[in-house]
Amino acid sequence: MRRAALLAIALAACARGGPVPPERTEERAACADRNPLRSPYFGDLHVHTGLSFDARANGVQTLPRDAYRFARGEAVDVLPGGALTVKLDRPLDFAAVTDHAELYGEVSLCQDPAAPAYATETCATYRSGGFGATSAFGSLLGDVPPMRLPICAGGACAPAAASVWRSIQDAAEEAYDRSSACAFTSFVAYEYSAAPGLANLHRNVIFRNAAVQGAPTSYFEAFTPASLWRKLDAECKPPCEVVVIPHNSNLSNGRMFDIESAENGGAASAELRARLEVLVEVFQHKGDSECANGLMTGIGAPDELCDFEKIPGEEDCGAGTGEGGLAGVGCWSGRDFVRTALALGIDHQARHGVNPLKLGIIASTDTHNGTPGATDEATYPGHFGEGDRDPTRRLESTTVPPGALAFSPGGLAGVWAEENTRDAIFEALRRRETFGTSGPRIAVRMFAGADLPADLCARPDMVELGYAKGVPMGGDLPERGAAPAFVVSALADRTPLERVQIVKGTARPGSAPAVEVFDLRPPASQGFATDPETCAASGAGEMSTCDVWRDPSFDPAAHAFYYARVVERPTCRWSAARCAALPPAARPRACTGGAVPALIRERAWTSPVWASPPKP
Amino acid sequence: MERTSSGGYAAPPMGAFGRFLLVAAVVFAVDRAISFARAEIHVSADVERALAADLEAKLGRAPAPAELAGAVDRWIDDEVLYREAKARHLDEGDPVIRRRLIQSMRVLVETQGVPPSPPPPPELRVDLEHLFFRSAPPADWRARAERGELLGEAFPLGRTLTGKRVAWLRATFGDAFAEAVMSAEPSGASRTSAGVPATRPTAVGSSASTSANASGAWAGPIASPYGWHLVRVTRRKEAPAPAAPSAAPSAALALRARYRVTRR
Repeated sequence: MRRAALLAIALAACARGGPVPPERTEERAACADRNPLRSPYFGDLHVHTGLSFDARANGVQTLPRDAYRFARGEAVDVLPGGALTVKLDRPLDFAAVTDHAELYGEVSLCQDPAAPAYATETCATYRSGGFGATSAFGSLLGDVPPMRLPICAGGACAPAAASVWRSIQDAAEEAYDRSSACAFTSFVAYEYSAAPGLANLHRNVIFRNAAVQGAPTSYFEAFTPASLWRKLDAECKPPCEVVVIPHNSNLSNGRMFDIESAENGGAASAELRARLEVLVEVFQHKGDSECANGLMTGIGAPDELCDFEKIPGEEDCGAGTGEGGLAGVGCWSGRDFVRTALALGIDHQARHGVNPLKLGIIASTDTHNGTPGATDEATYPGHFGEGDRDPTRRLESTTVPPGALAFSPGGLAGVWAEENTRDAIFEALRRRETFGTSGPRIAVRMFAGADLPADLCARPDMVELGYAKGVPMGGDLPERGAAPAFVVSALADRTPLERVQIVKGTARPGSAPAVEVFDLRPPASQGFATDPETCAASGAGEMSTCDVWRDPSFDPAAHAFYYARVVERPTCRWSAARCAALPPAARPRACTGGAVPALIRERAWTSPVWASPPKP
Repeated sequence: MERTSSGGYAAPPMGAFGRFLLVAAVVFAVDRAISFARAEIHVSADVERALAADLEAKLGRAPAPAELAGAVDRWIDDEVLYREAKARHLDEGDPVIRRRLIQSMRVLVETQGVPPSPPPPPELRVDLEHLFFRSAPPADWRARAERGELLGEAFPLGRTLTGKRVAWLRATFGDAFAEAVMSAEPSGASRTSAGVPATRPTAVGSSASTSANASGAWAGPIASPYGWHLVRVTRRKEAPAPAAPSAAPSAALALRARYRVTRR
């Protein structure tokens, strides 16, 4: 009897707002493991190879083809002569190579003995490699406005850049599994690398399918993010479709989430931004961008779990902004962090009717080794070629990138999609049914809705009911004015889970936005433990969780967002694992100095669900 | 035969008849071994036609039967030498042979495109339903599950898993789960779409508390990292394995992509 009722509910789900299958925009076989109720897929949407100026300057020889082979589980030689060979222990489901679009041609010509540019001092300096070469080319991307190098005079770099762009597209096509096995999905992509004053405004640009721009839009063509959005809007028309993903807001000196300036503050710009920038990279190699404590423009009470993989600025920007974030200098701001941005977004919506910061969440690595998904702390091989391949030197380094003690292996992007195809994963990205992790493959799922039953975790039809009676993460709650319930269900990866939380933000006209953090269950403290000296783990704990929570202070007149944070029990950071592997006498000062914690709590963040008051 | 040494042994002397028997036995064994191992050289009609055409081109007339027989005999000698040389790997490292093979492959690629990689063997995929429990299911689970009264708890991946590879099941749920699924009898059709027998004859044996099932019945309880599962396999079939990266625009590049180049 109950079974028949469940079947009826499932059928009703399909009839009344169950998952909508992805539109098919390309020729390919149907997937053998297609799941209309969606499965989790893990990938990396921020990957550099030797085509990026800074990776090549650090000796990286991998190309996009190698990066995709690596993602599919093959070993690759990052450095010449087998000096650094890396292999994933688990293949990824999808990846996008996002080489810096700015200097494709320059890097190519400087390595081509047949090119006239090869013999120039500029190219000789570049080929000398290391920090000097990285700075020589990288500083161009901090200039306002940016100017191309003299070796590109007369458009000399354009043909070489076009050839690089073609090779990136070819590599993505070769790696894409169009068979029914659907083993791997690749995306054509690039990184727009504007950093005026070295304040980071970088964005990754991910295309849905093989229909892409004729040439990527770099900082040399678009001096501001708004001009990037406008160029994409003009040049990427169907069948070309695109999403834009900002990253490292933590190094933007208060500038990444600007929604008030003349350039970004207008309604047209806000709407265009909301349409293209549907996601944000919350975590990667160069630190966590979720939240930070103690900054003037931060929102909400101190949150102990915000003290995680931080790269602090020199001072608080206060209400202003600064410069130098990518060089490890300048101020940092509460507005550098995603939690604040989400609150500013709903505040803007409350005041102006549009939310320009309606950001779903992913994470990725930002590897510059062409090694997507290499996030394991214990085997972290560095992410910057020669610059950080020596782990002991990495422990002793306090410099800015590449490779200081404060950096980490980075994170992963997760999506809930019907199948592992470009169409299905791209649509998951665009509807924000995504999550990010700090490295482990934690699969977390959240649904929200006023009509979700309280006993959802005790029922096998949680997924069907979630779609039928609620919305998945990334969605908008119906404007009904009733207090929503949330179900958060997670599968741990290799480490038990410690806690499950919901972060809630609210905004209403006439008052400042607010943020609260709710524990959905008491934090686990027994059973599992990691020895910070040896990194040995012992004991057991919760490997799967499911919790239902109803907002106790729901204000139907306020705009709100809710995202879930699932946190693992403490395990060794890469630096502690490296220290444990060294004989005590060989351990550098960082092993005992306390500059970074020995133990960290890896985690996953879901995209938010948004609530809006009923329209009058 | 006699060997002596400190700590050695002394064999009894062998007579002439004994030596004769021993030699005969060795000759017989070698002959049998050679006859069993003798490889066939087949002189096909195509070979004979090619030899005749070659002779005709050299002689300016059709070859006489004896001339053709002589050519065939020389071809057989050459074939024997060729095969013996191959068996001894004399072709390896020979720069002339390497150059010749490169030329042949280049012609092949340029005239016919990149030869496709050999297709990977098909792999097994499984459709299943599972009932999930965070703690062990009740003792009377089987009867209640068969009656549809035991439905399990919420699981984020859902109740139905479709087209899953065994490697995925192993990585996600562990070895015991994968083994149990591979041993379970599918409900519905007993053969795959490819006509391969759908089940293995062995029963589940990974855990004392785990029981195998009859066709289409629930099996379990099976422990995974997440809890306990009752499992019913609904279909098992062979499906194409993942495709290798497809051809690059350049034929030589496409072939090269199949290799990993290392330098020391």
